[in-house]
Amino acid sequence: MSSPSPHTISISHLADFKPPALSRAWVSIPNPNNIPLIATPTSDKTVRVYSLANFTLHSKLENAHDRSVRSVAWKPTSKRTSKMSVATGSFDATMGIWHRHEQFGAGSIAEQGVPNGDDDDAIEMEISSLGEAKPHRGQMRDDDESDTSTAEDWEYNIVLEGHDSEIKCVDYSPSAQYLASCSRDKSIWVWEEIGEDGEDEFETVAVLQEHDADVKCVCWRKDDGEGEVLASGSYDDTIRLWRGDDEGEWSCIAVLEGHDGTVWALQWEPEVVQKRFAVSHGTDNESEYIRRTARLLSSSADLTIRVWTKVPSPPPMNKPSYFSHGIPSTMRPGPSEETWKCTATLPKAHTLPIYSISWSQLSGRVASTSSDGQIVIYEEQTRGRTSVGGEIEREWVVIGILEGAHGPYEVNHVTWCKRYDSGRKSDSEEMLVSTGDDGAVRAWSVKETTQAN
Amino acid sequence: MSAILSADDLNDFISPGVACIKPIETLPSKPTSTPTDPEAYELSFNTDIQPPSSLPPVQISLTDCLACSGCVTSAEAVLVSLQSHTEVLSELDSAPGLRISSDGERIENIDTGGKLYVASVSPQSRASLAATFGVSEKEAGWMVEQLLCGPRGVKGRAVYRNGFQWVVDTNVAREACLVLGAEEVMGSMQDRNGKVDGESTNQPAKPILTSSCPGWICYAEKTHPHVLPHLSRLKSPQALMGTLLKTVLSRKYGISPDRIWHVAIMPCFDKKLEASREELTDAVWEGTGTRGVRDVDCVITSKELLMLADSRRVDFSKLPRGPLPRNIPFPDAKLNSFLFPHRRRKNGNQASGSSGGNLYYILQYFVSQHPGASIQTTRGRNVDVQEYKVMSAAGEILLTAARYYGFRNIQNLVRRLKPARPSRMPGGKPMGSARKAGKSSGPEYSYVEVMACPGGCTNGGGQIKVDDPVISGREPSESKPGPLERKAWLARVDEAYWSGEDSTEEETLPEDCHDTVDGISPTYIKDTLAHWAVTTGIDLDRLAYTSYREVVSDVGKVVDDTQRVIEIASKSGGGW
Repeated sequence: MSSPSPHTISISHLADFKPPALSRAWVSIPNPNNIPLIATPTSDKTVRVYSLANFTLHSKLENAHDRSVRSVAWKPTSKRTSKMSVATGSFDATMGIWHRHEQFGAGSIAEQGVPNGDDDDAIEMEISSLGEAKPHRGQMRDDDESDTSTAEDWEYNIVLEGHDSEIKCVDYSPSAQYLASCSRDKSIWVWEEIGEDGEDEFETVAVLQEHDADVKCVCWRKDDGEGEVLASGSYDDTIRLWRGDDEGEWSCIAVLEGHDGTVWALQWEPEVVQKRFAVSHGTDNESEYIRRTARLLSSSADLTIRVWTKVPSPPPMNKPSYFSHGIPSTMRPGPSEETWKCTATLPKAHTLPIYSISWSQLSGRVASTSSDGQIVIYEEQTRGRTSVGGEIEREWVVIGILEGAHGPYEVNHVTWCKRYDSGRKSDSEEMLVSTGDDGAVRAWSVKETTQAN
Repeated sequence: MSAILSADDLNDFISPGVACIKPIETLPSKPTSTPTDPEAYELSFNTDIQPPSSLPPVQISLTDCLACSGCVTSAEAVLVSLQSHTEVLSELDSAPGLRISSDGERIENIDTGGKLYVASVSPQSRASLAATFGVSEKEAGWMVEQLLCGPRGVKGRAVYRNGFQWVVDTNVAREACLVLGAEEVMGSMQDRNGKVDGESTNQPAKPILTSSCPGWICYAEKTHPHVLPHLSRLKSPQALMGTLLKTVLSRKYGISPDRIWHVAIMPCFDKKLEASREELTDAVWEGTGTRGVRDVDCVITSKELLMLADSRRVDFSKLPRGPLPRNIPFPDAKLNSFLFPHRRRKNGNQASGSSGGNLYYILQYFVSQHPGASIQTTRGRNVDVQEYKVMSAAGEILLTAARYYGFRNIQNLVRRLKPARPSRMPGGKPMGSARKAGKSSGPEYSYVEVMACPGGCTNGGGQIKVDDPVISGREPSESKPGPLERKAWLARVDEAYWSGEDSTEEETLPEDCHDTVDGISPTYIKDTLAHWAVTTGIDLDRLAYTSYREVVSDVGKVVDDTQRVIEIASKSGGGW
């Protein structure tokens, strides 16, 4: 597909993660806690964890699932800890919770890759200093303490059962309070970790069954004062938004209809974009952007990528703002329904279902990939005002296309990812990582080309 | 606790699984026993499995559904078509009914080939009807009786003018269940130092879990067999009533149980599933019998009762709101006064919940045996989880129990009861278990009242819905009721359910019974049950108790052709 504007970005091969899986790889998820690792679940029933510092295999999560591991989620941590936690979702209908105590000592991945003394995340110092600070959890580990080889392995700690069929996607909420899973059984489960950290006790807080078909993806929105909201996309062509109330009751607060095919992927607007356009609206207040609810990006088998915006709801008439106080909670209205509308459609570039989208936290650019083997990069640009004092118009343009990223194979996933390898030019340099049916995970550098036009 | 239970999660009912995996093309075609349209049984759960059109229409019976693990419960469509109001009508129109002599002692026309029709009605169904027609629960009971037995009811336009001989209240059986249930829990608490839980004894293992919710039982048998040793062995009120009616009537009149046709009116579709259990047929209580005549032949829901009235062009709302003249007595004086007591059976109050009050009765029973003890209630994670502690006067915890309603809460309960999974590694630490080995998984409950529906049985799937044209006067499709509307409606049904306490009617218990707990005399109940056992010559153990079995799941667990097909499909790009 040709794009209306000349491409200004070149996508070039940077490295392949080695060794590749020999069977289909589904997705690759970078660690969100500034640890230079990326996790790739595959249909050989394992998850491969690669180092972003040197593009080689770091460790493997194995011997737990009976079928393809379809999805993986890193648990976000607010404090620095030597413990990494991962949730895996498999076609065997179970979810696993894994832990690993990382010893970032001599020769560790962190040291190999990260240039010294520059940024806010001096991983190698922080984490190695923690070292043994956090003792392994009591009774389970006693036997293994002497055995250093197992101590460094991923520990498959708990299985979460309940789904009736293949789990398609798992996602931790940004606060790590909730874990969501969705499945071919049409349901979405919301789990909450209860008890102390490390106790691995989970409770099912909701089973949401309003989708009419397979639920393909779930994606949490950061708490913006309205609570953490979960978005889900389904084979029934709809997107639904879900939220829990203070009674612990979860319900659907919006249905986003418009796609004419399976909704394969969802992404919430990153803060960087919210900020950027808040400023362009003419407000100087840096925190002003927070008042606008993040937009939602969706990709579909109907070959479109759409942007959804919440329609502002007027404040309730004749009701003081302290309306909700003093009324028994069972009498209060449930979470109010929200209205969302599709406010933009990205330029069409793909010829087959769009499996994956990624909205960069750093640049605000969107990357997409598809069954057609292409990786496409889009940018939201301002066009200026069409009338004096009117709203600044924005448009999405394609700024880069790469064809055949995995040769003849389908590309299942693409993500923006911070670079940690020695070849990076700056801390904030990003690359793309694609994951394909060939089992390969590939890193791509993204460069501005000067000869635009 | 609030009267307004959460109906937010109507999607929280245990629902059918992804696909019926019954290999429909290989099912033996059964002779059609009822003259219904054969097409009505043709099923397709999954568009992937289309039977070739040249094959005759396939039947899937409820027993097939029970043996299959493709669904969590089973498709409601199947249940509705196999036990429906139309089946009630075709049964009533099949032959002239049996006639009882006016003293109730004998059957006058035993050779006609007809049947004796009896019905039992649940209090939740009465509550649903009461809220719908703006009458009291008692009046709703009379209206049901008028419909099933009265001259202005279903008899009216029928071929043989057959009606129901007796309409009984399942609350009667429920009281027996409450007493036996309380004793089962007391027994398990005394036993705890003795034997190992479960297998070796007939007693269920602690914590004992309620077994009267068929959705929960079906789910446990298929998905969580590890909880089966915990299930109360007691029959549900519906099943107990079925056994009582069939055993006594067949013995008294010397007729086969299949000459007695028993319909139950229930708030719940899954009760149809319960009625189809092999464990609840005469094969069990008769011992030698192999035919397996069901104790409850057919279950229809509250909503279907209205459809039954409609089919006979009876306007339910116009039925007389008073009792029929006294019927022919049940052919056993003692059981007659048990089944048709002078006092009305209470449904309990808010504290006992809307699901029969098993847990509440156990707590009251326990407190009655421990003078000075008191009950403490703590709300759980959501409105459908409650924890109860019985404290001695000295402040010691004597008993801990809980209520877990709704699918999501059941998940947390079954996870707690799950044994640690053995390691796959040599060396054997438990690995990837549902819970940590050795870790105490919360309080040690003695009893947990488990119900599949959030809000309990008044919120059952077979109840009349707030958007039903009967209530709203508009078509149901016009607008979906919001959660608030549903909540408010459920509150009205609950109110009708709990308002059944009539202080005007004095309690006339048999004289020698002064041991009442919450209005129920355990002595009287046990006396009556013993009489039942003696009259029929059947052990109470076979009459009042039942058993459960694991239904082995084969979906996605074994590598078979299906799995290979899936794998091949996923390799060729279709496995998303």
